[in-house]
Amino acid sequence: MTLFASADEPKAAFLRPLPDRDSEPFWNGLRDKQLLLPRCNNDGTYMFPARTFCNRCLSFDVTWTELSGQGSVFSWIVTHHAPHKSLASTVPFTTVQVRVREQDDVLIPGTWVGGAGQAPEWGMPVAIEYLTVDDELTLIGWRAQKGGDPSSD
Amino acid sequence: VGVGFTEFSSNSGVSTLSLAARAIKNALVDAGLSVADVDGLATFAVGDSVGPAQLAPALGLNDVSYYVNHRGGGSISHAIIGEAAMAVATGIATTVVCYRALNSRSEVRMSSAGRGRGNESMEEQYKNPYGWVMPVQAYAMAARQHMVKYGTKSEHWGAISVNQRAFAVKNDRATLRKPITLDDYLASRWIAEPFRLFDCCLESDGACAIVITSAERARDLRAKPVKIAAAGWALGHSLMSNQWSDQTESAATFLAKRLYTMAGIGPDEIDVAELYDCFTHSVLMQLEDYGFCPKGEGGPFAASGAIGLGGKIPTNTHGGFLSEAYIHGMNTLCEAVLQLRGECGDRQVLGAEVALSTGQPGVITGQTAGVLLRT
Repeated sequence: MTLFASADEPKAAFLRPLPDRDSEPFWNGLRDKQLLLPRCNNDGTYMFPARTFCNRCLSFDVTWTELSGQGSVFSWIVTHHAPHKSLASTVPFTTVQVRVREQDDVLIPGTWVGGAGQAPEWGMPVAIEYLTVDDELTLIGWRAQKGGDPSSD
Repeated sequence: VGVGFTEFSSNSGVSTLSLAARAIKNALVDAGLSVADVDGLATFAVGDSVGPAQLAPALGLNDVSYYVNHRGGGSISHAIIGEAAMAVATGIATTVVCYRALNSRSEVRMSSAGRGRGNESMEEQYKNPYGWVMPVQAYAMAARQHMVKYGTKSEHWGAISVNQRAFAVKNDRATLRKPITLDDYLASRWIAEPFRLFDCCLESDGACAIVITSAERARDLRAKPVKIAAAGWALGHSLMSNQWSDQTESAATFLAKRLYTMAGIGPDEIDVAELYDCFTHSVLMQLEDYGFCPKGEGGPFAASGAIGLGGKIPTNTHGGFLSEAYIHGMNTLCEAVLQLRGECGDRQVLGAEVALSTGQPGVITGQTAGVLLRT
């Protein structure tokens, strides 16, 4: 399901995320099948990409908080031109940006894992699916859900 | 007061330093200046480049009083012009050469520039594992939003691509000069839906240079000077740093207001627009955000012929990055100068007095741009 499906080592190295000092809990969370983001204790804002301070009030008082893992399709692309020669056999693949249910301006990329051959559409409700690559790395898949108003909280 | 080019190609066969020197020599000849007159050097770098520190000794310049080598690409292309004007206006330098030289086809490809730690990489970790590593994928995400929100169609992107090729046919600097139709566009292969091959810029080898000096000094020089009437900056947004959640808006919206106020004009007074075109989408966004048409109507506007020769706002008259070459915004600017000098032959916008020239529109990083006037 992930682009890492092949045992091709160069491919894996090429795609492997490079966490920074602010984002390690995010990646550790995915490994434990939790979608975590830092949340401001002052005004409740979630930060994505993960940061140690609030981009609304500049408070440094933040807590890593689990999200529902639900949201709606915000945008999507279907990549046909392999970004790297090691991906030549993997194209085409679909990548989506999902607007999380908790906050309109948090848009989280992931692999489209569809649902019964569905193509993404704007506003389509989705839920996270954890895609385990190996012991160290778990990635985000987004799967279409039936019904529900994606904009409701 | 002077513009200079190298040949644009897919393999220059020479070093990036040589490209820079050739373009600068041509610009100085155009201006009627010698290299000894230069006391400022300005450029920027993403991927391949050559900086002032390498260039100055190679040009025999021992005392350069102003230099800058920005880290950045399309978002910075016009910043170096605005800053050069400020350097001249404040007396820090008298004659600044702004240039961009790159072997971005034969040596360091631009299409993978986003990868790697250190170069604004904070966001890359969240995209790369999903195979999202190329600039085209980011712009395709934003373009999709415009299609969803405003009903923009493939044919609208295609109209921009076809228009620019039609101009390139009339430009002997252009690297792609075979005419294309909308059907050719629609038949071109997918790169990253919703973008096809003909939505995407070239990757090119080449260089451009432009010479900036004071209005007083410009009067005595060989070339007919063009005046910088306004320059501006606007930081926009990335596609996912929770800041804005509308990818159909760009920083050009803010920048347009500042530029028009500074120049004392509005969009109706602009005769020719040279708009940064890494992808067709960035042209469409700017047609809207610079006020040439209402927001959301860029697609039908482009398809109406408004951006062609004789249209409301002839746009990318050199063929742009899609068909002339990818010199990272400097060829955009040089074409604006040549239009105002009336030297564009079959593609000349008759009576052009005011030109808008822009960098990347500030969906993903920021935008810099300028308004130029015929003198």
